[in-house]
Amino acid sequence: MEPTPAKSESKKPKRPARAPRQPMPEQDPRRRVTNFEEVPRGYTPELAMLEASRCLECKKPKCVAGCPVDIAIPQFIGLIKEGKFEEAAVKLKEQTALPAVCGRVCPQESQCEAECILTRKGESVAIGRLERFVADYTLQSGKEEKVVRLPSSGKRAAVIGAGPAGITVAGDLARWGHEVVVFEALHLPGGVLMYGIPEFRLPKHIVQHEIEQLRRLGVKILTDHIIGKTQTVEDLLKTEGFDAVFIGSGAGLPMFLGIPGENAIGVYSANEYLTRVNLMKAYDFPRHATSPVRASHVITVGGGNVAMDSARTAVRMGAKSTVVYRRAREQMPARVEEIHHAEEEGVDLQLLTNPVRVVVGPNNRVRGVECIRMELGPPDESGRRRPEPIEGSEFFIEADAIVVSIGNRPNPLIPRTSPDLKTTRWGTLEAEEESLQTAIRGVFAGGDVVSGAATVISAMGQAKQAARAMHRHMTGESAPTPEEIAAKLAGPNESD
Amino acid sequence: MIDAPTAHSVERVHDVCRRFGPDRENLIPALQEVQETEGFLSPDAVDVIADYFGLSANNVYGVATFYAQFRYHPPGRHCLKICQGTACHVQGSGVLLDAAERTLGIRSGETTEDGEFGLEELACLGSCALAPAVVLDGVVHARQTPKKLNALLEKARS
Amino acid sequence: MKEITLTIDGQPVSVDGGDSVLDAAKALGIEVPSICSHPDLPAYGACRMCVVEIEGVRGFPTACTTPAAAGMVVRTESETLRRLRENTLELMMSGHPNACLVCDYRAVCEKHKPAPSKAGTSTRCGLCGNRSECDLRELVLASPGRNLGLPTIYSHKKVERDDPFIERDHNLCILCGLCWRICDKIHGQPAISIVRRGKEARIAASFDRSWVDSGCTFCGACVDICPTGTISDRFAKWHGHPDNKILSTCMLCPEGCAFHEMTEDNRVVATRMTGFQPENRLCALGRFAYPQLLQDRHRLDRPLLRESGELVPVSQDEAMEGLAATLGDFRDGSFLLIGNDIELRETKQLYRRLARDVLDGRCLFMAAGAGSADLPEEVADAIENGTIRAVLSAGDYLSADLREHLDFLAVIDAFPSALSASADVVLPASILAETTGTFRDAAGDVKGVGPALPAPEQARPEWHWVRDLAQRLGADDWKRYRYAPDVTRTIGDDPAPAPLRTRPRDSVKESLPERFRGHFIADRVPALRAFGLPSTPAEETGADKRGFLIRKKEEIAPNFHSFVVEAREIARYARPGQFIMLMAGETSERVPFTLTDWDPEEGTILFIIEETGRSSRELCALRAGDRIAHVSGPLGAPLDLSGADTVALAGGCYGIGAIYPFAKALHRAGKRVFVILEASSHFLMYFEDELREFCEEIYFTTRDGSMGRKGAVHDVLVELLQSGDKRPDAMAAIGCTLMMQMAVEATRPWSDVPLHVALNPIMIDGTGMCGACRVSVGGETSFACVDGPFFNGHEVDWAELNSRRGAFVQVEVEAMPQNGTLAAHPCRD
Repeated sequence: MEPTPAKSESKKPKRPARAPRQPMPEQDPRRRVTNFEEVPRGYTPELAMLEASRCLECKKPKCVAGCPVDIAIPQFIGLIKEGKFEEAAVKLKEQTALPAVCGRVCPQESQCEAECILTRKGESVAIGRLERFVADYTLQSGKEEKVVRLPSSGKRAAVIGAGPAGITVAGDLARWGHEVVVFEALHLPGGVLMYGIPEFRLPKHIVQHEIEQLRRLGVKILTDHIIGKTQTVEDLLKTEGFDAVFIGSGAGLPMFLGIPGENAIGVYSANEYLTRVNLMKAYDFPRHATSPVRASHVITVGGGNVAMDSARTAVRMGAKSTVVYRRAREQMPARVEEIHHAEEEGVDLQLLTNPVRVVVGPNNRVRGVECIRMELGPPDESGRRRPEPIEGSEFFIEADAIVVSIGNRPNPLIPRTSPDLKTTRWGTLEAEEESLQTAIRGVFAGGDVVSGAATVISAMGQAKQAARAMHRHMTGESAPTPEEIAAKLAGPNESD
Repeated sequence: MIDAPTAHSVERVHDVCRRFGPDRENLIPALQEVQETEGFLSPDAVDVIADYFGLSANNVYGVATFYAQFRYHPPGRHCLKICQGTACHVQGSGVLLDAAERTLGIRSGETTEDGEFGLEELACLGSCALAPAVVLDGVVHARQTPKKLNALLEKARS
Repeated sequence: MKEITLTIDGQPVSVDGGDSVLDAAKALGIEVPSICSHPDLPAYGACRMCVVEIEGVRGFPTACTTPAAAGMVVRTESETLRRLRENTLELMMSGHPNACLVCDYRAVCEKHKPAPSKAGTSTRCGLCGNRSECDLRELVLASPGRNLGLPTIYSHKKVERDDPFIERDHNLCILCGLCWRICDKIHGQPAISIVRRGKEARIAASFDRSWVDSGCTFCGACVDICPTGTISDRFAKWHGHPDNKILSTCMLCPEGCAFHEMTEDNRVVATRMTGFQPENRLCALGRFAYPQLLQDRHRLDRPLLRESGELVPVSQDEAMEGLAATLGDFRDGSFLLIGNDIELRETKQLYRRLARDVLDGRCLFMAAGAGSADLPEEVADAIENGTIRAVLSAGDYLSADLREHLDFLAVIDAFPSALSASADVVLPASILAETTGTFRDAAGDVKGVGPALPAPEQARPEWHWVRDLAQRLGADDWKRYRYAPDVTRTIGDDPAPAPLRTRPRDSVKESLPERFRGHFIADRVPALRAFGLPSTPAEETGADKRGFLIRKKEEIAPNFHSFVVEAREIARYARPGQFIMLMAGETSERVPFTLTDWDPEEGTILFIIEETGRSSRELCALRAGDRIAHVSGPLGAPLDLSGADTVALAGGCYGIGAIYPFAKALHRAGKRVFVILEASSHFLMYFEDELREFCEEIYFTTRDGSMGRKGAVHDVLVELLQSGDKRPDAMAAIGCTLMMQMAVEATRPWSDVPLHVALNPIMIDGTGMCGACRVSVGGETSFACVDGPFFNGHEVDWAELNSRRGAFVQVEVEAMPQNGTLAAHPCRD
């Protein structure tokens, strides 16, 4: 099928689709290991338009199917092509609450970009980078986003957790005219966006900007407020006057390996290691009072994004950094780009390697890890080939800090204090597939607390679903589409 | 609430010092003389005296504060002294002191902000039959109570 | 020839005329105890410890004030003398907190917790930064009887923390007078004196001024001579006894004073005078700013090369290649090297030769305290008109405007600046204690510097960089400069640096050099601003007025502060045994504290904080009317003891407040409650009346026996367990780890009676998301913040808990604020 060259490209000799994927300007690896500044710098408008011009704007776009929140990808890219960046932003925000975040942290290579038709012969359109470009463009323009909100519905919704799921539900419900109160256990909203993902992957001012948008929509955010320790979920419905509740408490309970020596000084969960540095800014010690982990060699166990974040944080904190992962590279759940960045920064990947025990020295301090080499056997129930230890291949890696990054489970506080909520054997909340309603009527849930530790975008997808269901639960009607909202606000009865 | 000394009084202090030779043994007489003429020892006065005797102000302050006789606040227009001798003590001079401190809003040894009243404790007046006794502007008042004392102060104020 | 012969303890000794009996005893190697005597000071006779018996002399004269006389017969030991000295010590210690010295568990406790807690005021050895150096403590520990029968009278004096560098806790002062005496000797007139008398007597300056205004030169002699922890060095205080002492020369100004670098783990934590004579005195910079300059957090520590517009860390080789390649183009007289006049001679020598001989350029040394504004005019002109096109600057010596004119700039420095950020090459320099060589002072004398301590990361001495650079520029013979003496040999009569116009050792006002290598010294060591030294104005971070309002705040015992704070939700839902996490300000740590009481109607909570480190200090510096940035809770699993009919509650130190909610709830529910309180000494007990109201009987134990019985809570717990009628069905013990551990050990024979202990591991979030607080209980790992904090004491792995609590000890010392009280707190309105 011959693509019609876009009008603006008619001068170019080369056909746009054949142009290679535009590289992302990045901080030099040698420099970036000494700071916490963002690594990918972002496309310039010229680069963005060039990259956008590669998009064929397929009539039946496969990329949209790969997107957990059905972003109208070809449309927003088409607007970029024409230089209509602000309109592209509006288009994006119809579907995604946090484009500046997702553009940075989504595993596009296994979602939209994996489906892009260009992958057949080369590299896909850099959809994620374009999303980020548009989002940043509006952020940097400094122009205040218009507050688009329907008049008050008289209904009140409680959102537990100010992470990606909570933020998304709060934003949608507030736009549809409901009063929303978000209860956040920590002292800063943002959830994993603040405590988990490091500054060099997701600058905190972006998260703060998104939170600010929520506030502008009239959402009340109560930090230092732990539902389950203060009110229970039932209290919110029965005595606090809320018409619906959304549980977005995430998966913050760290898992440990269960190997000997794991309680020695120097063994940290990835949550602890990252929370010290990201949320509590221990890299700015002693201005920020939280103690940083001082180690000369950090071994991170795990292969996901959190493990990459930990390993790359260790480099920036001045340590030699090694990742130990029991399967092979292809099976690492982390974003390809982050694995790539980690290696550029000098992180040593020890693949097909599993820790056996923590070797503890005097004073109960870590001296290193005894590891064993693995080989891939037949696949297990998840479909991945099972790693099996190679007998006699034990070896010792000397280290003074171990970061255990093998996954998280949902915090059990809320189900413990609301026994009517049903949980699975992994500790996740049971919720109906379509409406995401839990066993308690009027209580909905989404994000990691339902799916187990997953991605920001999947949390957002579930959150959007739940928000629609909550709106129906509170009003009996379907949630309004963006067009319906625009129509309502433009009409003569508009009052906002 | 120490009076800001004027250049004038600093010169006066210097003059007083010059009546003595700058030998260490003359330090206390000089301090006493300065207090006599100025009414109290200000930080600047102490600096001048220290300078004259070739000592540090800290040294001089250390010597002065050892003795109960020196004041570091300007005396008030009215001077109230409360006897703390045994008979007066037994008869409640402590209560009188509390009352005076509360009414005037200052501690013993200090002077009120408006400069009206200075409060001091006396070791013993030797007038046990008049216990508890106070001296206001040089006049002895016998068998005081907090109420009587407050009345005295009121009268003096007007 | 020593002319006086006398006999001491049966041994003859000859001394000079004018020597004292104490000197004579020393000559014989006889140790007579003494606190207030000092070999460099005339006798004072204040402490009365060195009393001796002299035949034919009435009474017990002090050996220090008694001149040795021919034929004297002296006895330094006897039963009477022993008793006298003990009484004297007892009296001395009645005014000095000493619970640790008489505590039966001192050795165990100090092994358990090797580093003292960084308390606000030292109420005992375990909370004192002077512990490893305290002469008074040594004296007491050496005294055979150590019968300190008199209770300590704690003076409750406010710790003086507002002055730069020096802190004073007069509650520890024994008025030995050493501080003002050495000040008098060294400066001719003391900056401090003993003021007032009797129990009001104290060390102070005239009119209680700040020492900054008293004429004090901050030489640190008083800090170094103080036998107790009264006068302390804020920066060095908690680092413990230095493990090494290096004789070297200060290079912060042309004076070149000799001093000792006191190091801990190869880092300088303090400097000291080499003797207690006037000529040994140091200035505020050499004594106090020096260690902080070396340990500055923002040191340049790796070579940087500008590539594609950005400064990128590179290897030493790459940096040298880049530098040599570029400088090769500037051998036509257009090169200028700007060095420091106050510098190792070896560095200056090689700088001169690099600039003039190798590069045919110019060399200029900036004087002490100079900055970019002091660049000679002809040099500035030459840069502007293009005569000078390339510069290597060993400090912040060029304005931004001048830099613009240059084709090439290399900076070799220890601290970053706007200039280094604009450079093409940056080389990290070792400075001061990190270098070794020789130094010529303003008087012309040549002095030794070093041996060198390790520098951060890849910083190297400047002459090393220069030597390697010169070789790459063709000067092959420079490779023979392997060690500093190889360069020293080649230096002839090099000029002495210009002297300062001011005398830093004589004053702190308008006397100290403002800059070091062109940087404002007060930018690197902010405490210097108190002396009027200029610094770059800091960015205003607006005070965040949000947070939880403090209704009431009171210091109820030394170091223990009680707070009443508005926290409606917490007050509504709190249950006994739960805790809160506090953040004083937005840059603070999150720290857990037990909830002592709560009023759901008022919407307030009450808790007690013991000041033992940075975070508790930030909180304790707040006042009623201020706001705590974040208070979250109630956290932890509440402990329900209502199943028992008779309960024994034991609380020690901060545990005293923690058992209050249990006492209240259980008593009101009609249970029999026995309360046991433990404190080191009587003046540290609090909440007696509050607790008395909610128990059948209250017991007091103190480590020094000054209130109730001498002992620990476990003594009473055992008694209760052994009694018939008072035997508890359940017990709770809350206090420091050792206290709880000892309670567990002592009550082991009765382990059928549950003993609940409140574990206190390090926490970050307190909500169960990080696992920092994991503890081993009953062989399994639990999170203290969600499964606890109360656990069955008999199942706790105490060794593991204790070790994990010590994970960040060194870092926590570095977190201590260096600028006195946190007066400008972000949460203060």
